Amino acid sequence: MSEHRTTRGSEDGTMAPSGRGRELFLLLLLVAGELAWICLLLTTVVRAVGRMPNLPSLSLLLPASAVLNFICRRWHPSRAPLLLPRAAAIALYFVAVTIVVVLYFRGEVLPLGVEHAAVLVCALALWPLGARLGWGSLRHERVLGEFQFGLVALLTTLLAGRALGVSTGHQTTAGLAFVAVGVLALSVSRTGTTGGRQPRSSYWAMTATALAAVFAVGLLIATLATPDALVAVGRAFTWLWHQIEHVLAVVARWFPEKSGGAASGPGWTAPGTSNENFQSSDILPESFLRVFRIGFAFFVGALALVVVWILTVRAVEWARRQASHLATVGVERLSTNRDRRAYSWVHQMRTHLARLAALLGFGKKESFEQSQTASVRSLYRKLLRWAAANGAPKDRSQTPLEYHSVLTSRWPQLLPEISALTRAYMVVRYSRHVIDENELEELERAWTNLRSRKRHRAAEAEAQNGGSCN
Amino acid sequence: MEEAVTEPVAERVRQTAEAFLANVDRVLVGKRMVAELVLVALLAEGHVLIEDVPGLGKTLLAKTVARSLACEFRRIQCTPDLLPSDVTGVQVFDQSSGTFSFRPGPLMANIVLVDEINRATPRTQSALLEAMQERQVTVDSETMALPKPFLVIATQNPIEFEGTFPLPEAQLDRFLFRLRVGYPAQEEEEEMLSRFREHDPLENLAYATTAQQALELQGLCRRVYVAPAVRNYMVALVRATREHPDVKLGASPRATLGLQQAVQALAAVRGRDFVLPDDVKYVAPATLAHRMVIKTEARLRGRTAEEIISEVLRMVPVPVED
Repeated sequence: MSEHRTTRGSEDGTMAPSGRGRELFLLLLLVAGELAWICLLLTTVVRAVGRMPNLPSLSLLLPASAVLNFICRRWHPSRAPLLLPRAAAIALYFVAVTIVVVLYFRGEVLPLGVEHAAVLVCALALWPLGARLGWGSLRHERVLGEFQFGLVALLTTLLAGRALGVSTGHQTTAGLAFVAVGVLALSVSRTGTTGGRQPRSSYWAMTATALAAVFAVGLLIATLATPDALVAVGRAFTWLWHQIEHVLAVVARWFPEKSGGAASGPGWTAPGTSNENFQSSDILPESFLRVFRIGFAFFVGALALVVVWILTVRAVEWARRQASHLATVGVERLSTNRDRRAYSWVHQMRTHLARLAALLGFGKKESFEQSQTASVRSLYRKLLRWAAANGAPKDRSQTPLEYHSVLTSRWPQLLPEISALTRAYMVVRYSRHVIDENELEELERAWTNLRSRKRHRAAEAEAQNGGSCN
Repeated sequence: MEEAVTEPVAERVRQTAEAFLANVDRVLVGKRMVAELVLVALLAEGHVLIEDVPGLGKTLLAKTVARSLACEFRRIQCTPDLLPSDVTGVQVFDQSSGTFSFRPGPLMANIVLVDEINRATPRTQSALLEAMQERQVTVDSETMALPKPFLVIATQNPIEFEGTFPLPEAQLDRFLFRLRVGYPAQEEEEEMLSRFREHDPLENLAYATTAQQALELQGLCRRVYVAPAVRNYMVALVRATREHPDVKLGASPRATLGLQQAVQALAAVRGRDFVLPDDVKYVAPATLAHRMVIKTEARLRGRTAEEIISEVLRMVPVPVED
């Protein structure tokens, strides 16, 4: 395996902290500072202007946060310890969201209604989704990044809704749309669109694209999902149409009248211009809107399910880790058939959900090496599934080398492909080495060859059987 | 964190190991696995207990290992009247100078063959095993370090128990490996006859590496990378021995440490700078079996420690993708 020369930095990807307490203190300081900064900005603007900041001024929040993040990273580049800061960040995040909501509804009566609960739920859902992105190797600046993004997305949504004249009742839906699409776009930027193999250099470009997508697609969905917003858009179209009419009328004045009457503008009326109270159904039919609403409800429901699932899995994993740390039960007992079935079912569910999440662009922000590792592991998983489907499932106590012997004795013609995949898997799983892009391409080719050769052979065998039958 | 050993270095260990094993192959027929594990024990700074019947080449193996490493070799034939001072050395009064001078015992060597260790009295055994653990001897309040590298190859006969003092579990725990040489196959025995017909191949055996190089390799082996998943796997294996229903006393945490050192050395011997689960499976029986105490009823049913280890290896899942 001398071809694998690159070596990973540290054993588990963490730098040794100089002190847990100090790390925690610094993290809390950073989060608190960030929170204070956002609140200060908001309250200053509210006092100065006498109302909540508008959309353009709010858009300054994101670059300012990015600068602050950059300063934080330069100031304290080491990684944060995991559990307590995460809990602290979550708590602070909840507090911040509450502050934002209170600021937004300042001066208004706050009934304990469904709408406010929904806004909170929408904001709370953002955290696990955001945390999911950076769960594997959590940096405090990443915590702050998610935190800021959540705040900015929420504020933008609320204020964009207000600017568009959307009633409070529909801002929840618009907020959900913004947040969901924003998180999706951000996760796409972090994971990459082709299996997470983009080098780090393209990260910023992808992030910028994703942020643009947040506003564009979010606005589109909000527009389609909320009839009030649709009215606002209709008004905008009407205004635009008036401007066109006005220009046309000005142009028409330049030409002499050929057949009687004064030139008093175009002789037609634009649709909707005479009716100030036009309905959203003038633009889109109600049935169309209903379909959009139902689709969006399904989307939000699925998103909530994913969040619940992720939280459950994380909680179970955390509990298992705690159990193993406590040294009460450290060894998996011999499983019964029922256990195996249950395990298999849960595992399959998890695999499918993970695949779905990966398809949607969810995933941890991975370094280039990590993504290469993930790709090799994914290829090996495919090999395992393929072999299991073809009657050679792997026993849980078999090592990759032992399983390699089983596979190659069963399919000797596939020896090069199976060996390449097994060798690469062992390197990325058990060593600090990573493989380069060329090697990864070769592995993908090996996997494609393996499948095609197997299919080819099956087709040949079928043809032979057919021939012998004939 | 200490820098991990890189592949070229691991390759160097492999080449040295190959030369060593080829040397041993010139003398011993078909004992490559045992020789490899003895080398692993040396590189992992452990000691070896060879448990087998007489005449299987235990002494020859120890001598060959010593000759291949160009190390100093001593042999201690244990008997019930062997005293600790016979092993460690004594202070002798020098009449000419009027002072006491230390006369080192046979333990003061790089490779020590302790033949039939279970025939020595517990007192002598404990002196010996203390030296193995601490790598130093204390005679009349004077402490002397043992030479480096230091490897004890002890033997015991599993058949004869009369006049013996079986090693207690605490002392067995100090051996990294318990190995069995086993009878050679027919072809191997024929090859042995032809090889030893004219002369003893040990006489002309050149060394493959020096003690100093072996010492350096020990340091390199410690730096072989063990992935967290493999570490968890090793811990799971050891813990499984403690929870097995047929086991009264499972392997100790010292066994876990020994297992890790052994797999690091084995990986380096095989030219890798990282450990595979296969390495763990390979050395687990030799590392863990002698450290377990099986329940009486299980022993009466004919259960052996090796069987339990293989059962545990079948039971504990290997860290691979699901």
